[in-house]
Amino acid sequence: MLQKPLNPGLRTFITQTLVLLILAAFALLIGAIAVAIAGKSPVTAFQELLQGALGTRTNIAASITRSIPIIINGVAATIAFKAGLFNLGLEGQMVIGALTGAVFANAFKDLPPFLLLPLTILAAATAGGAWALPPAWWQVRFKVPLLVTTLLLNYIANYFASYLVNFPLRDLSGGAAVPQTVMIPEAIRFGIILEGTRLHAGVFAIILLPILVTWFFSRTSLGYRIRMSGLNPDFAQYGGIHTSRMVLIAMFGSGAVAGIAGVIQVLGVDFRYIDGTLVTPAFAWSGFIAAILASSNPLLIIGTGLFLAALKVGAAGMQRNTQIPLQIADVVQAGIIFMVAIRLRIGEFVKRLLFPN
Amino acid sequence: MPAIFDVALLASTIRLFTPILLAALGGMFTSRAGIFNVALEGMMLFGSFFGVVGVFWTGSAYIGLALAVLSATIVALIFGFFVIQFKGDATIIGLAINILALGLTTYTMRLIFGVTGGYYDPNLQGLPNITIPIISDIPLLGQVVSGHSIIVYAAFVIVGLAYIFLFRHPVGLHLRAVGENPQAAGSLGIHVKRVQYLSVILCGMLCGLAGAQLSISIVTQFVEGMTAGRGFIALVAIMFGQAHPVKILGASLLFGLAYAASLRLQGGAIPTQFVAMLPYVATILVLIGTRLRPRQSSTT
Repeated sequence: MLQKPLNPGLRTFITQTLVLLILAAFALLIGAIAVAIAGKSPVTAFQELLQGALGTRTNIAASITRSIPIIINGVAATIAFKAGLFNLGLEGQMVIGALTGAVFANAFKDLPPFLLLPLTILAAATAGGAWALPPAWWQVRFKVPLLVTTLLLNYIANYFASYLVNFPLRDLSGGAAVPQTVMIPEAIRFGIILEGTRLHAGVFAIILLPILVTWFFSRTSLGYRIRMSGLNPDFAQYGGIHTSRMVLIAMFGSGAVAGIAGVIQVLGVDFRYIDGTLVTPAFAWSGFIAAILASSNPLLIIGTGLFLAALKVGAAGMQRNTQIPLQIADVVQAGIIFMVAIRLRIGEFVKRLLFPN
Repeated sequence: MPAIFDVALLASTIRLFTPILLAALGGMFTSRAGIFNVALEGMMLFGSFFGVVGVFWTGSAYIGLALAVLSATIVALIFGFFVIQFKGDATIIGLAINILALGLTTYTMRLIFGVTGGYYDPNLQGLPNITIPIISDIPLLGQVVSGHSIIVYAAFVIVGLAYIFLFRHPVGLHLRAVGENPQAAGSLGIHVKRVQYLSVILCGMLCGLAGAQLSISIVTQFVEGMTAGRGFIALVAIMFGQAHPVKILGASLLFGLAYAASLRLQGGAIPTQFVAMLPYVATILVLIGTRLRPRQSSTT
């Protein structure tokens, strides 16, 4: 039937849609195998997962609430990706930002809320960014790979924050067993925007930040220079761009956004910094994966982040009802990254299969 | 304040540096073959987990050891398949392996052992400590050198074998050639993919041993994410040791000492959090220190 070759745009569209379908099918297959190994029915598990993620109004709200730190961390990862950098230190930057925000809000609690709130976020962003600067500087000055140092700094940040909330900053009132700071002033806590759920005002950040970052990289000179030094450092350097400075700026920006992700959890969910609450759910890693899935397109991260959050929340619901461990979500996530990393190959394959000439 | 530097510290250094050394030697092979491998962490974690599973299922520590090596090698082959066959980004694939390792071991632990966090059973017998006949009677030296698991002694032998393989054996030469310039190596008739697969398999086996040393040698237990960044510290050991087996041995000893000191200082005057930080801080300092030296000598 196809005597005339299809137009190239349509070809690409068909190919990409098919690739996405293959990716989704593969992710489902991995999940189904893992469930089958556990001796449970994959169909039931999938139903429970969907139910847990999207079944009720509360569950949908929980998925969206969960997506907030994931999407913001994804945006943070993207800023570094654009400069050609792997920032594996999002977790530490988020922790340092959150703790700084909590401490700042309590230290200046007499300030009027309309001033205290932005300053708290600013303090958290600055702290997160500052925590990301040393590895950036080590890379440009000593050629020490940032990929390794950012990761190692996570452990240092977590232990350091843990020390601070265990001893000097610990809330000793009420004899709380959990190491945590004092609660932040009520006036600056984010309100719930959906009655009967935990969805808080921080959700606006998942639309605002991706738009802002997209604008930054497509419309500003600095954004252009960062992208150029990521695409081809030698060429950028030749064209008069200070690539070292771009590495520092991109890492500061990335760390700052991770810090914002942390402080939003403090402002909207925990109302204080609690030891380990940002690390255990692996927000930073899900964000990193969301960025990879979205091929570093900040706007697409809203979608991939929501998907990963729904996967995690759904898996938790599934665990409650079927005793299938919720870590199945991580297994599926890893499977998706494998597929995304080779999606160009799958694309070529599909193209050859469909359009042999 | 008690003396920190003594014989017991050296003995525990030997025990604790072995996982770093073995993972670093494994990563050295892939690095020499031109593959940047951040998946050491995940491969080790698979080794740790299946080591314990092997002991749990069969009661034999050596079968546990074999299962650790086998599982890590299978994971390494998956890594190799996506990187070598499909030419995926090695860093992204490597990170995916690490995420898979953490997720799958935790998932499977809950299924097999029905516990969360970690699994420990005092009845499980791990690898025995080997007493070396004559040396163990020598004071001081005997305490440091004797009484370790077979993996520790194997690690030292592997350093020698790795040296001979890389620098004295034709296949080792091929491996280095592939890493230096794959096109040139290919044009000389070297099977580039085959050599890279070999490097990945060697890496998996060594990471399996490294993982087993963590989980079935000192104490028999598995804890979620128990490798805790050791794969990345091993990466630093490779950089510090310039991908040379003997220099990697030296680098790993340094990090082992940091781990031993960290363990020793626990419960002392310094808060545990700072003590636990020590290996990571030491690693970063060493990494920067190595890059500091040549610059200084060139300017002065």
